[in-house]
Amino acid sequence: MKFGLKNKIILFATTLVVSIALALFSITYYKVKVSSKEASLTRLSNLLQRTILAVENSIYTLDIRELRSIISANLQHGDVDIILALDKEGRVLTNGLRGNDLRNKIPEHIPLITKLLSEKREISAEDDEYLWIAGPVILTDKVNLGYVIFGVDQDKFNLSLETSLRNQIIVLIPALILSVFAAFVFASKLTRPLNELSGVAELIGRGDFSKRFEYEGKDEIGGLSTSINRMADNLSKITVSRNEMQTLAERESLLKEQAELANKAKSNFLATMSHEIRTPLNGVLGMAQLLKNSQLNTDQQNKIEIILSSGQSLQEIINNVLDMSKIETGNLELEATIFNLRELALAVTAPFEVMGTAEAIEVIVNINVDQSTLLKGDRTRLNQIVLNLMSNAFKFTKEGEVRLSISQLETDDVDVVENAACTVKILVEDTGKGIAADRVATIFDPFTQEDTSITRKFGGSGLGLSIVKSLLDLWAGVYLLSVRRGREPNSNC
Amino acid sequence: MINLWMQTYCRFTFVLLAMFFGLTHTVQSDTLTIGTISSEPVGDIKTFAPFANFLAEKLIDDGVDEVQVVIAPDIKQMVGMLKQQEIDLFIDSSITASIINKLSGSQFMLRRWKKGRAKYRSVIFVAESSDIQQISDLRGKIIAFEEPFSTSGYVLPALAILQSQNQLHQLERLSSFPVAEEIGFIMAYDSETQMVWLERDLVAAAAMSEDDYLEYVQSVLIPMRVLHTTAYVPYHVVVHRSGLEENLIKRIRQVLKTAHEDKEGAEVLNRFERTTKFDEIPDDLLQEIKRLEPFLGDVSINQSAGQ
Repeated sequence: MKFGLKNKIILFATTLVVSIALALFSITYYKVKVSSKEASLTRLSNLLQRTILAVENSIYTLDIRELRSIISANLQHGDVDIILALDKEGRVLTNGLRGNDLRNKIPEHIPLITKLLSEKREISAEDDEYLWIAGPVILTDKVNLGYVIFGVDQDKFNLSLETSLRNQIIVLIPALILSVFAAFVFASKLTRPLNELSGVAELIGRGDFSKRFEYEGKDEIGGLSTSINRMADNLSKITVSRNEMQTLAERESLLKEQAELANKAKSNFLATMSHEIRTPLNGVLGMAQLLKNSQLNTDQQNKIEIILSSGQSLQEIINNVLDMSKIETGNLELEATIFNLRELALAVTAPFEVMGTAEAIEVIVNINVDQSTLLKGDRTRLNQIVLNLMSNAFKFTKEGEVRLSISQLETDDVDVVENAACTVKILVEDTGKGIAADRVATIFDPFTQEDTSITRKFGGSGLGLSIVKSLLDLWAGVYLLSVRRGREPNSNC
Repeated sequence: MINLWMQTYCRFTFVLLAMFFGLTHTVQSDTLTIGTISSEPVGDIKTFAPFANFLAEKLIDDGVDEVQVVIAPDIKQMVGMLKQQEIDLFIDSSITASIINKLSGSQFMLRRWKKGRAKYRSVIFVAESSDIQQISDLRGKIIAFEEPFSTSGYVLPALAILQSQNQLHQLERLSSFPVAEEIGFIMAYDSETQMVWLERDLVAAAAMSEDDYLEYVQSVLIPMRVLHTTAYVPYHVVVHRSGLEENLIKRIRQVLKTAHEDKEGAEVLNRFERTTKFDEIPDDLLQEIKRLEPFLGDVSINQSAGQ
């Protein structure tokens, strides 16, 4: 069962009222009890003295009949339940009745008897059943005739208390019922708008922002409802934006998926086509090589050279396209063979030194590793990387130099030192025109060159650097492009 | 002691009651009237009423239309009403009835077992430590009687003292000195007072019914000793006036003697001061009453009467 705010308010109000009622009742009960007993004692004392005056002659003459008559009359008034007339030794003369079980006995069951007989003055005492008050019947200061003892049933006081209690209950019970009812009404009035507000909040929580809570009061509930309505408004707006963003994201995702599919189809297409083109191209080049070695005149020799050169360029493009396709489709697998880095570097740079001599470009090779340094990896792909970088540098350098530097990587990066399998730095620098700053970000994208005019001017497929980047990504290597336009050399590493 | 005012008041009331019922009786000759002597007329009328109604029911076929109750304050008035035939039946203690019979000509009829008692007797008792050994030892001393109209508390013990050749002399107060050759007596008007006086040596002896003595002796302050025990007499009796019709007497005897035999009658009798039955007065008890008759004149009981 849900113990809601309404029940809590009712419980609290009820507990409060009951507590106050009990406190009031206790105080009143105590006061009534004390005052009632005090008043009763005073009244009984007066009655006792009157009785003592009435019986003194009877006790003096030992006229038991008269004594019994007086006591019996007092008993009939009902104020006192027990009256005993004692002789001077404390023995019972009469109890006001014909049958007198206590005749000639000292009523030792009465708590005040010993004190009464010794002190001979009016005293009172009480036990569980009776309130006792007694006094001496005195002839002179020195002569005591006897005693009179009154016993009043405690129930008489309890009856008074019960009457007081009953009167209080008569007032308190309706007050309690009224207060509980008032608490119920108040709680209902308080919780009804809260419940409605809760319903609205529940709807908002479920995403339904159409409901608003109308509350005209200017109290806390009014403030809360205003806040919730405002929150609903804002959430509604945010949700609209979120939906739009979700729609855009979904569309983006769809487009991306479509693009990836298209790219994959393109790669597959290029791989297939490159493979299909390379086979007849090899045939052409093979035949052209055979033809070149035959008896040709100069003009024929030149033409066959052109055929071979064009064919080799085409083969290079096709190879690059094929490599890029393999990389993009994830079909390129790296080999792990042991090779000599120095030998690889010299082998790669040898053709460029020849070409540089012809074009007045100085090709400088600085290899600062031991001759015996061996690396384990894909020699072919490392060769391709260095070759592409050198080729790219050589392509865009008209004069000056192209430099290849290989050295141990010097770094303070603990991660690199501890985790890298190989820490060799390969640096390719040139004195070419450099790359514009706004093109640096796309220079490694496939089929992209700094300027479309470059393709026309320098040739190439725009795949060289893209292949370098992709291979380094496969190796989890680091590449750095530093571009400086002007006289300072450009560098790639 | 009842003061003078109270005595005058009671006497006046009783006369009015007696006159009222007397007049009624003369108008309705078929009304049966029951009388007794009492100082508490209202209480006794209430006590007698169910018994009277019962008797009226039983005698309705005998020409009795109604049974009335008349309370007389003393023997003298009762005697007068009996002589005037204003009272048909008189119910009281046996000694009182004996005096009434002697003065009015009425006759014993039946014994009443009032409070379940058929007979009773009195005792004269003294403190156990007392040197009084016989009644004559009481000469020059004081004995406490109960009250002047008490059979057991005064008449029977007084008769016993008189029969033992001793003289009684009534004293006004405890402090009075008795005549040396006579036994002084004082009325305590209460059996409990008698005991208290004797226990505290204010009197030399006391007298009361044996039943009362046996009850009080259980709570005495000092041990007691019985000096003299009287003969038994019937506790209560019914007498009829002289001249009452014989058939009616016979019928009344029959009704009363069988009243306790059925449930309704037994219940009525029980409400009539716990009377268990009515029966014939045994001869020995009747003879004892008759034996006392000569002495009754010597006892001052002509004030009012009771048990």
